[in-house]
Amino acid sequence: MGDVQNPHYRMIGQMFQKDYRWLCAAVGRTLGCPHSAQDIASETFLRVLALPDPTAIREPRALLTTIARRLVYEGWRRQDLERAYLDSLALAPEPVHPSPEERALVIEALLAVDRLLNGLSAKAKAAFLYHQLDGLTYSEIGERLGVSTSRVQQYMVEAFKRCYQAMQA
Amino acid sequence: MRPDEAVIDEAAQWMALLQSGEASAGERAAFEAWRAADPRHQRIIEQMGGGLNLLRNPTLRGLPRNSLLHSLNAPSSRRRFLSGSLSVLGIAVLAGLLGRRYGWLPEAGELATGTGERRDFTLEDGSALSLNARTRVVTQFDAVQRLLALRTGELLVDVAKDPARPFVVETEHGRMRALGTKFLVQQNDDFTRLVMLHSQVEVVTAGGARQVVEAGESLRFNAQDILALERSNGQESAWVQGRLEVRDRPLSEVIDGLRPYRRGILHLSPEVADLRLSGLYPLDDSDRTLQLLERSLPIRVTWHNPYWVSIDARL
Repeated sequence: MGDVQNPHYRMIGQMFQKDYRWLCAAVGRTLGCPHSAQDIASETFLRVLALPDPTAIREPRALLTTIARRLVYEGWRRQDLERAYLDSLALAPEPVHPSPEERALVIEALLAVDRLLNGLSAKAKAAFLYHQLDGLTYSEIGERLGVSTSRVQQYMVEAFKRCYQAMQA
Repeated sequence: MRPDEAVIDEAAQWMALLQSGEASAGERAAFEAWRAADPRHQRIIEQMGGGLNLLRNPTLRGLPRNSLLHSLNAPSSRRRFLSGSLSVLGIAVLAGLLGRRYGWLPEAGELATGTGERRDFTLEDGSALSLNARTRVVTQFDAVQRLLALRTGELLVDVAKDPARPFVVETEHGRMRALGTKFLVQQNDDFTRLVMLHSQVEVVTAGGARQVVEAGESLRFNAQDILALERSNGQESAWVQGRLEVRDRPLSEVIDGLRPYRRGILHLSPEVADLRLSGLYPLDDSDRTLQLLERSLPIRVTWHNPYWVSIDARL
């Protein structure tokens, strides 16, 4: 599995040898399930590989723990979103039965948007998505949400700030 | 240095104003002045606009809005935790949650480019690989074969001869197998396109359909079927030189070719998507390309802001 392009892989390889078992154990101790602990530990190292500059890592174990914890939360959130999505399908006037593949794509997309807009109010999320996805004007959105146009503009300001923070994370 | 809250707030105010579609010429000029006043301003605007890329996802766009909003407003399980510790996790909850979404170490052979970035690589067997912008491939070379999995985007590969180890490019739609040759592969949402520059390649779709493609031919296929075998027009690999070259093609195709070179939203109105055109356009200066298009077609390009450009019929 040689990769000649990226010298970072060697460094992360050493980190992997040194800390993978430790991380599996740390996650496994609290989960009680070695199988999913290994999944999380593996995914954690994948995320480390994707970092722009792994040589800047000073505290490998602190970083690994932070990422692993984030993954655990992400797993929970994924489940929340999936449940809510299936609920919404059940409530739809025309019953829809997406395939498992379609469902998986939807959940991934939901998770990404959720991460982007996390923390905004329901109305701010709705305003932002009506504008970005459907091209509704601020006054059309105001009518739909029962708020003033200037309130919609404030929602957009909040949403853009949130976008900036999400891109920093 | 972290930009302070006030600057981020200002940037968000500008974005909201510019996207309202009601900014006056004076306000737009004021925005330009603000943006030029400090390099941090430009960076913050860029990062804010970067988030909009996520919303281009066709799956997301296809979701009924009620379903989308209902799902996003789902209460968070995270509240059930005391914050900040792994130690409060339940036992069975994680089983199957994350799943094995990725292969494990094989992903280490990943090569990728970002928006507006093209790169050339020499692979360990001596093959020359060029990646177009926003492309991701994973190399998996072993004693039996040289496998290149194209996850997204477009590549051009000049394969080094090795009769013992076939060179295989794989997309979600199928596999292309060669011994030594030069070809281009483009993975789209609905199909894969293969353009043969030298020699020949055998394609097997995921569903088992087979087709041999010779130099000078171009093949489109999806997971089930061979869609079309055509003469290649010789312009498909112009991106390697940073150009987009088309002869009598629809505007939508040119715009799709530009998308990997732009951040933010580039909206093309369906009423002009099918306009035909021919020409040679710079990829690395996509703003200029849009201006050139506007000059030669009955379209109007509206710059709401650098990350929100829409193309409509000229009235």
